[in-house]
Order: sequence, then C-alpha cells, then structure tokens
Amino acid sequence: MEYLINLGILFCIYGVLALSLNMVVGMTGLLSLGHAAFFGIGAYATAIVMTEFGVNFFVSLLIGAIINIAVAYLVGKILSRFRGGYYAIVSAGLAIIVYSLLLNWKDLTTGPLGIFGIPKPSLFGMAIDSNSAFFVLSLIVLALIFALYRYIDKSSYGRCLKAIREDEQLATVMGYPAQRMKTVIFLLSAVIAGIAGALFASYIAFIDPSTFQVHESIFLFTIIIIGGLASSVGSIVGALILLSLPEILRFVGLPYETAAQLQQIIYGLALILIMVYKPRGLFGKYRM
Amino acid sequence: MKKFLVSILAALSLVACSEEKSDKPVIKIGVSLPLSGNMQSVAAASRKAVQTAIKDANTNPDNHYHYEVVIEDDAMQPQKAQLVANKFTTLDKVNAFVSFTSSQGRIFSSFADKYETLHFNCAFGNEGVLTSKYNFQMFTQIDTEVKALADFLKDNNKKSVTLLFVNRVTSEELVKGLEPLLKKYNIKYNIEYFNQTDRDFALLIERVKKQNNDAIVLYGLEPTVSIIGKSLYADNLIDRVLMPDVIQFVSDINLYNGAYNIGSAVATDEFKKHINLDKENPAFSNYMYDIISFIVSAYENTYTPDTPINNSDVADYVLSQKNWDGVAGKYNISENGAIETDVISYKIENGKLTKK
Repeated sequence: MEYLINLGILFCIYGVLALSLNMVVGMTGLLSLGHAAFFGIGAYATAIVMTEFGVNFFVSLLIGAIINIAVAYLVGKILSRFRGGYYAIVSAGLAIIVYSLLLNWKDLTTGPLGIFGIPKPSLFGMAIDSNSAFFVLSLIVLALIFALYRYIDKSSYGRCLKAIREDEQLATVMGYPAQRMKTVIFLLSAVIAGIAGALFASYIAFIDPSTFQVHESIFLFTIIIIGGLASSVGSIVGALILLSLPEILRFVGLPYETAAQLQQIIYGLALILIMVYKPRGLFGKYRM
Repeated sequence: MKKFLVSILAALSLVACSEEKSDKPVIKIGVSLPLSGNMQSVAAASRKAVQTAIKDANTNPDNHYHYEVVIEDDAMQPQKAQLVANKFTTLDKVNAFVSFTSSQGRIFSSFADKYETLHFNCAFGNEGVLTSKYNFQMFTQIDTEVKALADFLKDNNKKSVTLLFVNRVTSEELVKGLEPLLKKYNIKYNIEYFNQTDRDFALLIERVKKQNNDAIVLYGLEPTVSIIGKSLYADNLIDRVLMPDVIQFVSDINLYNGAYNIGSAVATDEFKKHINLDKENPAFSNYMYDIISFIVSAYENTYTPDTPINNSDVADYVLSQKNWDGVAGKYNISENGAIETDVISYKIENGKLTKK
C-alpha cells in the first residue's frame, strides 16, 4: 500500500506538470520544451528557502511562484517572437540554461551536490510528514489544477487560446490580443510547474540538477502526447501510464540479466503501439 | 501472437519455478543499481558480482540463513530511487538494501532510518548518507583518497597542479578536501570544470596546456573522460595525469599509459573470472561482491536459533567490529559506519595496472 501511495504522489506531481504543459502546448499550440526549467526553479526555490531560512512550505510556494513569474515573463517575451519548431528550440534552450545555472551557481544551489534534508510541509502547525497525508495534499493540488484547466478550457479565454492555436493571424485580425494571451497562459503554466516542483522537492527531500534536464521536458511532452493534446483527462491518464508502466514491468518477473533493458524495450514498444493506434493520443482533441 | 505470448509466460513461469527453495530462514537483500541510463555500463558487472556473492553464500553449508536478492534499476534518478527504496521496504520487505553512488545513497538512508533496514552504500562521497547506525558505506572514503592524492603530489615534488573535474557531486567533495591540503603543502592549483554532456574540449585543453602545471588530476565519467584522455595523450600530457578511481570505468585503459590511478582496489583477473565477467567493465564489482559478503557475514555472526532477526543487533555487531577481509582488501570499520579499504596507487603501463 505504501508503495502505491508513493507512486500515487509522483503521479499527482507529474499530473500537475502535464496539465500545466498541456495549457501551453495543447490549448495554445506553443511547442514548449522548457518546462523542466520551471519545474526546477520551483523545486530549488522551495528547497533553498525551506532549508536555509526555515520558511514554511506554503510561503516557499509563493516565493517560487514569484520567481517563476519573473523568469517566465522575461522568457515569454523572447519566446513570443518564435513559432513552431523555432519556439521548441528556444524553449529547450531555456531548460539547458536553467540546468546549467542550477549546476554551476554553487553558492546558491550547491551545484551537483544537490540539496538534501528538505522538510515536509506543515499546515496550521500540523506536519504533513506521513506519505498518506502528503498524498492527500498532492491529490488536492492535482484536483485544483484539473478544475482550473477545465475552467480555462471552457471559458472565453480558453476559446481565444484555441483560436490562437488554430490561426494566430486570424485571431489577431479578429481583435484578440494574441501576444498578451500567450504570455498570460505561459506565466500561469510556469507557476503551476513551479508548484509541482515544490511538491517534488518536499516529497523526495533531496534534489539535484540532474532531475531538471531537458530530457525531463521531453518526458513531460511524451505524457501529453500519449494522453492526448488539449485534454485534461489525457494529461492525467498520460501521467498515470508513463509513471506506472515501468513500475508494473518490475513485477513481470523478467530475468535480472536482461530485466532493465527488456523493461525499456517493452516500455518503448507500448508507447509506439499507442501512437500507432491512437495517433492523437488516448484522449487527444487535436493533432500537432 | 497467442503462441508467442504463451511461450513467454511459460518461460517466465520456468524462471519463477527454478528458484532454489530452502528450509533455512530467509534473509532478503535488495540491490538498487543504475542498470539503465548513463551508468549502465558500470552497473552490469556489479549485478554479476551481487548474484555470484549470493550464490556463494547459499552454497556454503555452514550458513544458517538462505539469502535472496532483489535487484532493481534506479536509472540514477532520485524519483526512481525513491520508488525502489519504497518497494524494497514495503513490498519486498528486505532485511538489508544496497545502493550505488552517494546521491542515491542519500535517498535510501532516510528509508533505512525509518524502517530500521540495514543500508550499504557503495560510494565515497558520504555527506548525508551516514545518518544513523543503520547506514554504512563500503568503499575507500573521500577523505582518505584526497589525502593520498595530496600526499602523492607532495612526495613527487609537484609544485603546481590542474584539477580537471567533471561538474558533479564527487568532484565537489574532492575539491572541498583537496584545497586545504594543497594550500598546506604549498602546491599552486587551478580548477577547471567540464560538464558531462560536453563533447568539445579544445578550449579546455588549451587552458590546461597554458597553465603548464606539473600535474593534472583528472576526474570524470565515460565517455567524456576518454575524450579528454585522448587529447591529453595526443598532447603528451598523459604522464602528468593522476586519476582518483577513474581507471575503474574507462573504456580503453591504453589511453592512460604513463598516468597514475589513486583510489580503490581494482578487480583482479581471478575475481573477474569468478564472477564470470566477459567484456563488461569490472568497475567496483569487487566492492559490490564484498558488500553482499559482508552483509552475509553480519547476519551469520548474529544468528541465534529460534530468535527473530533484529537489525538493530546486526547494526551494533557491525559497528563493534574493527576490520574485515574481502576480495578488495582489508576493510577498516569506523564508528560512523564508514567501512573502507586502503587507498592503492597504480601506475598504468602497457595497458596494465602496476601497484606502486
């Protein structure tokens, strides 16, 4: 049970990340590969302020959000000049820059040593230190972000974002402030990724830059492609599949000599099969 | 398709049925290795060493317990390590577990504290790992290696050194230990970091050449370290090179002819034959074999008939010991849980290691 709870917490964290990425990629059609950067900034902000200054987890969330807004605003301004593949390349560049900063700004981040002993959150003096309590907290966060996604999706703002996704020029001609709308959704998405980062740091209790490399962005991208672009349910199901499949394969009883490699092959094959039979992803509403 | 699935299921059930059964009480050991990802070439030999050590323990008729091993892949990722540690403690209910590298060790050590499970970490950076009496680290320790490196430089009359390090945990700890000693010995030093993902080192090598220091301490992982090694070899700088443990995982030892390796004991040919190593890199497999054998000896020595296994007693027993002999050499056991072999200096000549 404890193992499932642990898996459940990671599922909630990655579900939040997938929802936030789907806001940018699925809803707005911006090919962002820089999400690991915001995930990392949120995680490090929480880790640093909690371990260095003894700040409460929820205050650290706020600090992480402010930093992410500032970074996302600057980056969003630059990114708004690009589209399609160029947007993906520049946003991947952001992930690489942030990774390099986390690795090399040793006075602040301790570099490759990472930060360990990150405390668990506490609410009204009550420590959320058991896995079950942390799971409840993560589930609440996931539910809130899920509801927010659905709300935006159904709102007029969400419809504008979809219009931008389909034809940005036409949306601009129709009088929608496309640039501003893209910046706002990018900021919101960055803040949510930061919240996931804070949960991750507090749960694992140890972070180092290796988690926040560009391949983490690609992993998140895979989640939403498998689950389905522009789909809130797809984001959740995608996270569930990509996190639980490798764990399920641990119990298949493969011989130790080849287990790790076979697990990777089966995992890869399963993903290919999904893409062959469901090219829009499992719950996808739109194909990139 | 159906036939294919049936044959896979049949093969899997055969694997399951072929496991040895024993009347002896069982000790379960979990081993977490980076079997996929960047470090998989280093972990392959360790897996073989672990399986051989378990086999050796179970074929010893004097042993009171039957030993079972659960090997899991953590891909060197903290979130995977968290899941593996959770699986070991809550599903497999192992008596002891083994982790590889200090960053993974930090995650496992919190589980060892919580579940009172014995934890053995194979790594030499120890910050955050030895947090309670249930956590041990079996290798050469970083302080000892750092001292040996600095002493080597002093004894060989080196007045200046370039520290050419990959930007990762171990390098940070090496620098932290080396800096005060180099200052104490009046050895001038330059630090040059490179990233594991970098592939072009022309500018870096140029800087190193310009510094023209008497020695170069090179620390990195494959393939990066061999790209640098090749450049240093081409520029006739290789005989200035000292490596802390790097030779354990390089793909071509001939690149380093003339260099020195200072650190843990390298696996002997006899040991490689024993664990049936073919082309795999033997990196640290002798230490992994020793860790399993040491866990076995700890449980055997604390065995009391008809008494449930008590990990607290086993941990106390380990801490009460002074030393232990393994295939990697004689281990000294410290009160903080560090179980270390002496540092050995090797010179690399004609693709072979010679003890100095």
